[in-house]
Amino acid sequence: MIDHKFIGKEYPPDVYEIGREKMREYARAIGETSPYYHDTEFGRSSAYADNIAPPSFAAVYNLLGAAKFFFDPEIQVNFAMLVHGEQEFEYLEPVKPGDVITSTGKIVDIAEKGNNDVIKFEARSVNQEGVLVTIGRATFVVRGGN
Amino acid sequence: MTDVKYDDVKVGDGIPALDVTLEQMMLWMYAGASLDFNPIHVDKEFGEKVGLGGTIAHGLSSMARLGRCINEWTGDPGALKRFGVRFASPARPGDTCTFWGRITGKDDASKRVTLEVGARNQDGVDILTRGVAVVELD
Repeated sequence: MIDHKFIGKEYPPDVYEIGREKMREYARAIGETSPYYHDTEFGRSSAYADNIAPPSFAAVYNLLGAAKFFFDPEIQVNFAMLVHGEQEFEYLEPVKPGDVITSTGKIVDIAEKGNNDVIKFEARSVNQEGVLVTIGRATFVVRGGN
Repeated sequence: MTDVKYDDVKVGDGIPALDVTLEQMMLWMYAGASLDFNPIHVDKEFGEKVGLGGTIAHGLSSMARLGRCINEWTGDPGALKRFGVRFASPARPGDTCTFWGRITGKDDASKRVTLEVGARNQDGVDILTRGVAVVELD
């Protein structure tokens, strides 16, 4: 069982710069061919004025802080038994190449469900202009309890 | 600008399903793209040793393919405003996964459409459950 005193614990932010070719590489890995990612001219003449990152690229920039929770020396998560149970992303503004995204993760809930520990983790990603672009909400399960 | 228009869709409509047959190379590509090189995704022998019977796909890659199914339907990936899933069971190389979606709600004021979305494998086993997506259509 994980001590409930860690509810509310916030981790130091991670900074990630969105690379045009890196986000295209991610799109290719999942088979996304949209010109919104891949065609520079198309992107510049679109309503977004540039290419945008695939929404699922949030898995890369938004979830960076989760590793800090996984390897938190104070909590000592049993990483071998850890499962990513659920994930939700809320997209508030598009993310574009060159954006510098700062993501801050926080434990928002800890509960016991049967033999498992269930941890709710939220990460908020803000761009270089201070605009909140993405909120990620993850549920992690430590099977058999921590 | 979305290809599909708000006024042209109704509650109960399905969106075109996406079928993907997974190969180990796709898992390696996702590992490289996401920088998640956990050996359960990239090393078959390791996956066998820890009782998984081989490698399993990254859960987030299945989620991303479900996102692709939604984006290919709207035609504008910026239309996706909210997207969540439960990782129910792993997908494996050799599996043919079907990604699907169905409209469950419409909000005229915001032109936002809510969908129930999910993924299952060739045996009908659910890979992603409790999937919800919200898109804003033109």
